[in-house]
Amino acid sequence: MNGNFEYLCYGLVAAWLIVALYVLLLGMRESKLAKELERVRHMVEPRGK
Amino acid sequence: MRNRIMLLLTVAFAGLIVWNLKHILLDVPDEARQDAIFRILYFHAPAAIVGLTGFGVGMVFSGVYLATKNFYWDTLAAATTEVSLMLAAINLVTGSIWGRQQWGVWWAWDARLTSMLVCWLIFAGYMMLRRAIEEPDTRARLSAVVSLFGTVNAWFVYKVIEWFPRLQHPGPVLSFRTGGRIDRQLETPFFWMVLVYMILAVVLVMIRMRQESVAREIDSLRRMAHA
Repeated sequence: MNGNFEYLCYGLVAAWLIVALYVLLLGMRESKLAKELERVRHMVEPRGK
Repeated sequence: MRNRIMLLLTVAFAGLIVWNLKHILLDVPDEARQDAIFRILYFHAPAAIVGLTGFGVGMVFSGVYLATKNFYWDTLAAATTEVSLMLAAINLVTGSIWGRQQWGVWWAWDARLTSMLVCWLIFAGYMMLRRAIEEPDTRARLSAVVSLFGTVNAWFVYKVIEWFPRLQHPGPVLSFRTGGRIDRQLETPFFWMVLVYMILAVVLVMIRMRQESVAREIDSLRRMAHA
């Protein structure tokens, strides 16, 4: 593998790694929000009954 | 309906990226002076185009918030800016890798690179500002000011290669800026890549907006619980 192609690979990996990390962050935020929503709903439900 | 649109866009993104990657990696010939490494530009420049445009779109959304005082627009501005910041990061990192191979250095303090870094830092500051201020109206107004300031800088990033032609960063190469200096075979996958990043950005903004609506629901339930 020549050096030029090696750096192209680094670039491609970096480009998609940043997207993957951001999507992972969104996924973590989503599951945190879902848990929080569930928790707050349980807090409210007894009052609604 | 929104989930269906997101699914449709995600499928379009996946199909387009596979098809275009095949073109970029297998069909497009090596560039005469740079060999294979020039293909980084298919990620580097489209990420900048969509990212910088996103900053501008975020500023427009902030402006709509200031005119209407509807927080939906402020949330949309924040979501658009966050996704654009991620795209700007792709631009900076891939550019640095390209520079290391072509120039022998990871970074050069020329006007293009520096203004892009400043732009990224301004919008990173925008995101930090939003976390630091709890009062929604103050947060939205100050965010709009930072967004305006950052977008002016983003415009400078775009124009600087015309204003300072002797930069280390290459000058404009796309045909709509130069009148046709780049071969169409090299240019077409570039524009497809711009579309790919646009679709990706729209999907990610939609996901962020969905999260914001869940956060609002949590807030209203909390208020009910404490009432």
